[in-house]
This record gives sequence, C-alpha cells and structure tokens, in this order.
Amino acid sequence: MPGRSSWRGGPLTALCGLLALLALPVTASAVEIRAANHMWLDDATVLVRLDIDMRLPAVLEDALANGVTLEFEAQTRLERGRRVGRDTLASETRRVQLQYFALNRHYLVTAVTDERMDLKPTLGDALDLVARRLGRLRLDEVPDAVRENPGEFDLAARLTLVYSALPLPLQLDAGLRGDLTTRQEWRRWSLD
Amino acid sequence: MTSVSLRGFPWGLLGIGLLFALLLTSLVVMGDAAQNQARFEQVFLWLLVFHVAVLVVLGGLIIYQLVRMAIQYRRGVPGSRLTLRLVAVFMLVAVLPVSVVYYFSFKFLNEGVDSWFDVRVESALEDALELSRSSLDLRVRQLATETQELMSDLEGVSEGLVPLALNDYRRQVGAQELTLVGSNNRIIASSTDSPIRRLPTPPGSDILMRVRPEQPYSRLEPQSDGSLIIRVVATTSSRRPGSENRILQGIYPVDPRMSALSLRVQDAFADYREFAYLRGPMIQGFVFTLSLALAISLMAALWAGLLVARRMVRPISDLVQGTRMVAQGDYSTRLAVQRADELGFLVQSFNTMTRTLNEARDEAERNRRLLDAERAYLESVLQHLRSGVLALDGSLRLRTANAAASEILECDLQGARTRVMSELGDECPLVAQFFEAISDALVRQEAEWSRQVVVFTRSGRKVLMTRAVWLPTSGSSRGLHAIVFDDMTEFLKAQRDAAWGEVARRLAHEIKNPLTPIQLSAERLSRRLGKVLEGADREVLDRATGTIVQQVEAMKTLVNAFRDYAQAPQLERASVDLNQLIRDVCELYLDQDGRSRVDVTLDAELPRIHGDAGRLRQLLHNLIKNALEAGKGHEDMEVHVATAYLDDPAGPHIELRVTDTGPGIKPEFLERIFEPYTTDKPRGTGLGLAVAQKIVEEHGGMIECHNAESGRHGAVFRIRIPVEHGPVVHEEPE
Repeated sequence: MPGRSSWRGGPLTALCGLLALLALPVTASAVEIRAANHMWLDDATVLVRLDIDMRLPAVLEDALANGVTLEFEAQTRLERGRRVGRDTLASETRRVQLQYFALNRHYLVTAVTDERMDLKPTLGDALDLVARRLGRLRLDEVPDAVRENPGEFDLAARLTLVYSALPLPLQLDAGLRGDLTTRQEWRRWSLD
Repeated sequence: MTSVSLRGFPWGLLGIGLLFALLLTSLVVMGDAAQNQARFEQVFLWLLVFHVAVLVVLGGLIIYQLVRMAIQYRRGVPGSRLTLRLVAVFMLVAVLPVSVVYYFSFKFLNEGVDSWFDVRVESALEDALELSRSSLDLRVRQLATETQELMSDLEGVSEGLVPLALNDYRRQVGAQELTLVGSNNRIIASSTDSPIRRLPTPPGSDILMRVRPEQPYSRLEPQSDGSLIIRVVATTSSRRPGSENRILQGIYPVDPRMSALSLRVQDAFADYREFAYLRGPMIQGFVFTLSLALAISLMAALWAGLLVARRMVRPISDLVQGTRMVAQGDYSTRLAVQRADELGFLVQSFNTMTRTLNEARDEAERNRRLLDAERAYLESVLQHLRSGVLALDGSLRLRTANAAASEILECDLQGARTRVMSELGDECPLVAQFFEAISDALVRQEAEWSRQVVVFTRSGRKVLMTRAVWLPTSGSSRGLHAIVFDDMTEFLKAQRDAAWGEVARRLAHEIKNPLTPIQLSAERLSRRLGKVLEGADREVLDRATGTIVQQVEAMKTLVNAFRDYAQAPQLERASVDLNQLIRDVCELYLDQDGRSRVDVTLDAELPRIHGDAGRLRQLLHNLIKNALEAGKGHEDMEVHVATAYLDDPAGPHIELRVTDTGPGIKPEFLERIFEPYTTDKPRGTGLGLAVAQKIVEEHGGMIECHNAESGRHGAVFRIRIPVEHGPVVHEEPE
C-alpha cells in the first residue's frame, strides 16, 4: 500500500507551516508545455499542438496510487494584443482525468469532454496518452482577420492540474506545501 | 443650529465590532469555500492572506499596546498598574480556555481521525477486491481460451463464410462483438449484438504489440456507462506462407451484477485508500484552520481585552488624576461622566465632592477674609487704644501686643511675638520689671486680677494700672492671659495733687483760720488774767495758755506742712551738683563736737542733674531728719548718705541711698510709709516721707524703702533720679 502520512505536528508546526506558506516560492511544475505550434486545418480552423512534458511529481504519483483522481486541463486561446489587456477571439479547453483502476491494476485515462476511456498498463503509457489527449486542441470559427494579418494575433496555451478536482484536504495540503502547484502561466507565440 | 458631538462615540468598540464581523465573515466564507471546490481555489489564498494580515495587524496592535502600557507602568501613570492586572486577567481568561479547546481539538483530530481507519476494514476491502479480481480473471482467462479456440476454428473457414461464422460464434460464446482484423488493422469481418450498425473498434497498437500466436491478450475494461467488458485479442500462426496475419478481437460483456459488485468494491476500496491517504492532509487542514481561527480569536481577545481594560481603567485613571489635582488644591477639577454604571456614579460622586469642597473652600476663604477683617479691625482698635494690651499663652509666650504696650514698656513687642516674656526681659528692662511684678499672678493663672505696678524707666517711674484675666483652654483655643495696663503715672500724680490740695485748702479753711483767734484769745486770757491771778492759779493759767499757744503753733506748723505738700510748686530746674548739695545739708547736722552726724560717701563721677535745688535740699533734709529721729535713743546710731552714678538697662541715673542703723521700720508701716500721716514717731507729722516721695516723683525719680538685710538694723531709702541727657561733667567742688 502506498505510504500513509498523518499529521503529527504540533500547533507550533502548524503555525510555522502557516508562516512558511508566505515564504514558499512557487515550485516549478514538471507537468508543463515544453513547446507549441499550430497549423491551419482550414480557413477558420487552427489546430494547436502542444509538446507536453508529463512527469508527475512524486506526491501526485503517490496520490494517484492511493486512489486520487487527477484531472489535467489544457487551454488555448487566440488573442489579439492590445495596449491594455487582450481580446480573446477563440478558445478551447480540454480536460483529461487519470486514475488508477484497481480491478485490473491499470491506469484509466478518461477524456472529460467526450468520455472516452482508455486503459494503460503503466503510468508512463497513461501519461503519454494524457499528453496526447491534451496536446491537440482545435480552435474553430477563427475570424478571417487572423488569417489575413496573423502578426497581430497570438496563440496562448497553458496546462494545469485542476485544483478543484482534487479532494479538499489535498487542495489545502497542496496550498500549504506548494509542491502540488502545477498551474502554468500562459505561454504565447505569434501566429506568424 | 444643533451640533452633534462625536467625541463620546465609542469608535474603538465600533472598530472591534467591525473587525470581528469581518473575521466572522471571512471564516464563514472560508468554510463555504471549503465546501465548494470551485470557489476554494479562488478564495482560499486570499482568505489565507487576509487572515495572516489580520494576525500581523493584531499582533502589531497588541505589541504597540503592551509597549505603551509598559512605558506607562514605568512612568507610574495613574491606572497603569490596574490596566496591567486587567490585561493579565484577560490574557489568562482568554488563553486558558483557548489552550484547553485547542489541546483537546488537536488531540481529537489526531486520535479521532485515526480511529476512523481500521486495519480489518482495509484488509477486508483488499480481500474483496482481490476476490473480484480473481473472479473476473477467471472469466477473462476462460474467454481468452474460448476466443483463442474460435480463432483456431476460423482458420478453417473459407473467406466468404467468415461473417456468418463470426455471427454464429458470437451467439455461441455470448460475445458482444467479434471482429476479425487483418493486416494494418483492416477489418475483415465483424459481428455485434447491437441493433445499431456501428463501425467496430479495432484493437489498439499497444494491444497488438502484446498479442502473440496462441497467447491471446485479454483485459477487463470499464465503460462510460458504468459497466465492464472483457476484451480478448487472439491470433494464430499464419496458415500459409505469404498470407496475411489475422487477429480476432472479442468483446464480452460482464454479468451486470458481477460488474456492478466488482465496480462497487473497487470504488469502496479506492475511496478508502484515498481517504486513508488524505488523512494527513485532512488533519493538517483541520489543524491549520483551527490554529488560524484560534490564533485570530486569541489575539482579537487580547486586543479587545487591552482596549476594554483601558476603557475600564480610564475613569479610574481620571479619578486618580483628579484626586491628585484635588490634593494639590485644585478643587475646580471636573471629570467627564461618560458611563452610566458604577464607575460613572463614582465619577459623578467625585465631581460632587470636588464641587462641595470648592464651595467649602470658598466659604472658608470668605470666613477667613471676614476673620482677617475682624482681626484687622481688632488690631486697629488695639493699636489705637491708649491702654497697653498683651496676650500671653499658658507658657507665657507673647501672642499679641499693641502699639501702646510697646510704647508704655518701651520695647518693640509687636515684633517679638511668640517669644517668651522672660527672654524678652533681657532686652527690655521695663518688660523685665513689669513681668517680674506680675509673674506670680500669671504663674498662678489667677482668673482675674488687678494691681498697680511701678516700674522705673529712663524717664522716671511709671505707675501701671494692670488688669488681667486668664482665659482657660476651651476647645481648640488654648489658654490665654489677657493683660491690659495703663500708664497712670500722670493721672495718679494729678489726682493726688488735687486731693492733697483740697485737704490743704480745707485744713487752711477749717483749722488754720480758727487757730489765730484761739491763739489770740489764749494770749489775751494770759495777759488779762495774768494780772489778776497769783500764785498757783497764775501758774495754771500760764501753763494752760502756753499750752494752747504752743499747740496752736504746732497746728499751724502742721497746716503749713500740709500746704507745702499739697501745693504743687513750679520746679525751678537748674543744673544741680547733688554731691555738693549733700555736703551742704550735712553741714547742718554737726554734733556738739563739730562732727557730722551723717556719714557721706559720694561718687566723684556723679553727673549733675537737672533739678530744683531747693526741693532737693528739702528731700535730703526730710530723709536725714527722718533717719536721725528714728535713731533717737540708740547710741550707736549712724546715718549714711551715699551717691552713685549707674548706667544699667533701666537707663543712666543717679542713685541716692540714705541708710541708718536704727530700729528699722515696722512691717505694718513699710507698705504705706510714703503715705501722709503715716508715722510711728510720737511727735512726727507723718508728712516728711510723703513730701520726700513727692519731690522725687517731681524729678521723675523713684523712691523705695526697705529694712536692712538680715543681721543688720536700720532702714534703707533708695532714690533713683534719671539723668536725662547722660552724665553731666562733674564740677570739682570748691
């Protein structure tokens, strides 16, 4: 059985943890977009391809092995840069769940949007599948202006572990420890 | 226009209330966020930051208040000690229950949550899961074998009959779908039990990689509808060289009940594992939230305790400050009544007290001013009194003296208040004499007395009519001698002169006038009858008429003496050498042998005095004659006259002593020796010493008389005559 840990610290430890929270730097996530590119499928559709590094932190592997379902979300947006803020012209979100299927000791990858389910015998296979599922997003109904003046537009994408999908105690633990922080900042590249 | 004062508004309490409301709201939001996953990520960090910020702010406020309180405690600011005690009590009251709650909550969380997990339950779940696996594995292996056999059977079926064969086989084995796939995942034939015609799903590449001839690949797969299927992929060795390799994929449904039970066991097992895995974070979360809430509560309670303590102590501090002001004499201090409780009542009572004290002080001030005015008035009256007034306390210490007293006793008594009279006598001779004369009555504290006190001064004797009362101690006032005295010298002199003038006039009128006819009648009788009578009758007549004439002469002498005494002749003052005058007078008192009967000792430095030589001569005559007559019959009788110049505290004066060695003066006469008609001599008129005293007094002097000291006989007359302008250069006798 994966390691079990219970809170044995005293009040002082809790307080120290509270104070340390403010000083903790944001840990660099191993679940991240390494590179991205795009291709026009037609005049109004852009396929965004993300090269995703899906190396889970040990704590997430531990959580996964102990029955916690992990949910990852990939987002992409077509933006127009402005002096102040940005306009989003099109966007696409894809979510994939990864969980351990104990009945046959496989990892189950489920696409939240289309409920497609796949079993993988190893975690590596499952993560590759997750990366593939999340790494292709299609932006539909892209305005003509984007194709005509692609230099004025950017594509943005980011990959995050969906916090809210975690069990509540793990959310708090993640907040306190910071090592579950997998929220990635938006990455942008020009359509040129 | 009405103005609303906001100074009394409890802003501090409002701030505390708002802060608590904010905290409560944030805790509620935090609790709500914990139940709402969607909001948790959004608000958790902000709430955390907010609470930590509140903690920091509260900590800063508490430290500020504590430092401020410590400074006030060191400076001894009123109320700081009480504030410290109250804060300590508040801290104790807040910390103790919070600590107890925290301790037990922490213990409950650690031990209580642990108790939720049971090894047997976990073991049972694992066993159940294993049982489900075994059961399903058995089915999977069975279906794998069957599928492999079907694949072998299909090897013998011609290409065109494969779809029918698949259909038959599917019905035989109860498969959901049977699909025969060729190279490149090309579907050769497929059979399904679904009424909806759909494209069969070929096995994935990862499956194909695991398939070996005669070694079918099989696994259990969940479906999106919550059911389970068993996927089996089998292949055989190629029948003919060059022919494509074919793969049979069979999808078999799992018995719905079996599927449901297995999935339920798996879900339960997964939940339990997840629950056990999350036990640490869960407890940590609880402890963190509990710690945060308790820390905020504790610090908020401390801060509130500090504010409340200061608010509670503020009236007391004001009271202490007010009391100090009152102690310093500021009765106008008024404290603001801001509360309606007992402290407010106390402040109100303090204000009432200070107002009453202020009024009492004003009243006392008014009374003091009245008293001062009365005293000034009395002082003014006293100062303008011609009578001397002295007030002495029980220890004969001078309390009050008016100007007349200073003038009469020739001493600055007003500047000598609180001094003892006996000490004062060293500086003021008159005071010494006066005090000596009345001290017996003062010491006895006689209730009321009066006496005539005679003192000798530079300017002569003074007769002081003195009256005194003793005011014993009564209540807060101590015993007091009130002494009033008047200088009666001139008055007595005038009165006596007038009295004796009247006596002399009456004597002259009533006695002297008939004396001449009597004398003439007696002489006529003597002449007429002397011729007629003879013998014895003649002798009787002569003796009788002679007696009458003699007595009439004596009476005339007496009357003349009275006249001389009573009349107040104008002194003809001139510079007189008293020594020479004495020598001249003593010349008249020579015995038969030509020796003087009077022994003389004269001070060669005796200054001349400003007096009437005739009157002084009469004075000397009267005293020497009185001494000689007193010594008649005494063989060793001696009269001694002496002069001396003295400059003692009583002032420069000449002292004249007339001493005899006679029998002395009878005590019953001693007190009134200088009164007219006082004599113990058979033939004395009783006027000699009275005239002598009169002459001395006319010269501003003083005459005293006493018997010689014990062991000796005789009387001593002591005359002191002041030398007004200092010693006069003595003129050598010629």
